[in-house]
Amino acid sequence: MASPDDEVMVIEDEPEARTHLVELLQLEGFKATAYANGAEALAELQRRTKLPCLIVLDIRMPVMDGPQFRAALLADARLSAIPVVVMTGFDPSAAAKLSVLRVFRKPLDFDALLTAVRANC
Amino acid sequence: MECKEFLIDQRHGNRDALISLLYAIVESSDDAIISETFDGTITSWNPAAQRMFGYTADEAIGKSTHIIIPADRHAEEDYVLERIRRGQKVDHFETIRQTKDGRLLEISLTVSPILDGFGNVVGASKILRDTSGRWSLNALLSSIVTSSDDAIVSKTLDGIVTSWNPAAERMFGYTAEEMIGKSIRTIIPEDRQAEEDFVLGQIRSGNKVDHFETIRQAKDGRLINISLTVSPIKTVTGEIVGASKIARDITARLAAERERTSALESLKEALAARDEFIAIAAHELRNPLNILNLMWRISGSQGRPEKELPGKLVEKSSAQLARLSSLVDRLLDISRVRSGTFDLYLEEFELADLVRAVANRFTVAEYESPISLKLNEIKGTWDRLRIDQVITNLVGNAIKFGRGKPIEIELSRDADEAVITVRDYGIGISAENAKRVFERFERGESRGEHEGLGLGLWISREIVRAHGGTIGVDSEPGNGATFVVRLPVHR
Repeated sequence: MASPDDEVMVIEDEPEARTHLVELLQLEGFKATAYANGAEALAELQRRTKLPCLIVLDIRMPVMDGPQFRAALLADARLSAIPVVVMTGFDPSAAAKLSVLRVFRKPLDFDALLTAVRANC
Repeated sequence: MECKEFLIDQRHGNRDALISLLYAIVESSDDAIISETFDGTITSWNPAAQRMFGYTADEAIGKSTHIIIPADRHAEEDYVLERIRRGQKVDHFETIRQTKDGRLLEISLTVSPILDGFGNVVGASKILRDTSGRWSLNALLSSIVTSSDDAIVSKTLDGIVTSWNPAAERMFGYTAEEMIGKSIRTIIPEDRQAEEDFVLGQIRSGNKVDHFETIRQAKDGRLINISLTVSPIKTVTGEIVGASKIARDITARLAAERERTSALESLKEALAARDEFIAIAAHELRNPLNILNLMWRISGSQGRPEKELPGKLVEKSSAQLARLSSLVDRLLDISRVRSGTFDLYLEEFELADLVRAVANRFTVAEYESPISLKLNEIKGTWDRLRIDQVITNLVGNAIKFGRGKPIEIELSRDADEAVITVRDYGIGISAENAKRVFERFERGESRGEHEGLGLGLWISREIVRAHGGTIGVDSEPGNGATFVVRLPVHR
């Protein structure tokens, strides 16, 4: 299994939210990459050997949404151990069923997210 | 002495005193008291009899009792006299008698044998009470049965109908004449014949069948939901000789129950749809808030790069705030349209100008899709802001679902209507979804694909309808969609 590096993977379909979140993480000194949906992120993970230290996952997205992406990760032995946090504008209890480290509600409490990132990266 | 026949007890010591007493009683009674021989010849006739029937004692004595018995009841007299001959009494027998001038009287009749000094029956004494105009149990029952809205019928233990009231005629379509003498099975549907065996079994064992809900068939084949109560009919000695059935038509009640159930179902569905809508609305409001939150966080960050100038931030914030405002407006629209407080502010304006302005807004907003316009000038009377809302919604959808391909907007005139056409070449809508897109809380797209409240087209339709116009869509999946709005030029 590849050792995680210090990269935070942000999966969010809303372009502005995605851009700003990546920018904030970079300002805090993390390497952050952005993907518009689960399918894009999954393809990238399957392509490369180095895995991210944390995935920040949105729930409602086109093509492949958060729950589908989470299921795909858990089904892949190489990817299933990557820590995942989710952020959602919907009922957080539904998102809590996805076996993730934490569920953040939108609007996002960036300091709380930062704590989770620091603990894992 | 008309009453001498009463003076028969020779064992009595004070015979004269007894005669006087009986005489006084008979003379002053309000009941007619008469006596007769076995061949029906009247032998005494008191003053009450004269008042009741109009014949004097002289006229009546020596005549046949038939003078006060209606022709169709002469047989009764034979029955009564037969009983008397055997030494039996007839007690409170309700019947009809006739006066001298032909009037019919309801009579309660008590007849006793007259014995001679040796105990032989020598005649009959009759006491007749005029019960005309009084409650009689039979008359009461008969009026209840006749006027009841429930079908009331009686039948023998073999299920042969013996009475059939007017409500039964109305309910089942058969007249009393058609049913009396026939089997009750006539009105029992083929697949329920076994019920009658059960009912008759219950009745034979002396049990009642209470509010049994079942189905019967009318003469015209119509099936009727009824609630059935069946009770045994017993003789005085307790012998069960038949059954009385009361049937209530509960078709309407069952229909009302079904209606209530279905109303409740659709209410639950509407409630579930509303809950889902609230969840989506909350999500939609959270997104711009989330972005604003992140932007302001960046602006406060110490490592913020110089390129992020305050002016740029304000501009971006404004866009998100505008998005929030528009969402709130749309939420308000729903409640306005729902509550019917949806007023139009009509004014005359050039529709082409409005369409152009809407298209420009989208072009300035740097969307990917190029918009082409083909507009004829049409002046008319509409609510400018509401029509703006409709066109904005249609063009916004075309961009959202248009996969970046060109969008065409046309405005033309067809007789008294302005026709606005918005065409995209995007993902399109399936035929099934095309029917639903104008409904509230519906989206042709599967949830999660695109943002929005799923209400734009519903509100658009309500606005267009309020203008007396129509809105429709023509599409096939993968080949884009064409929305056509037709608005009367003048209201």
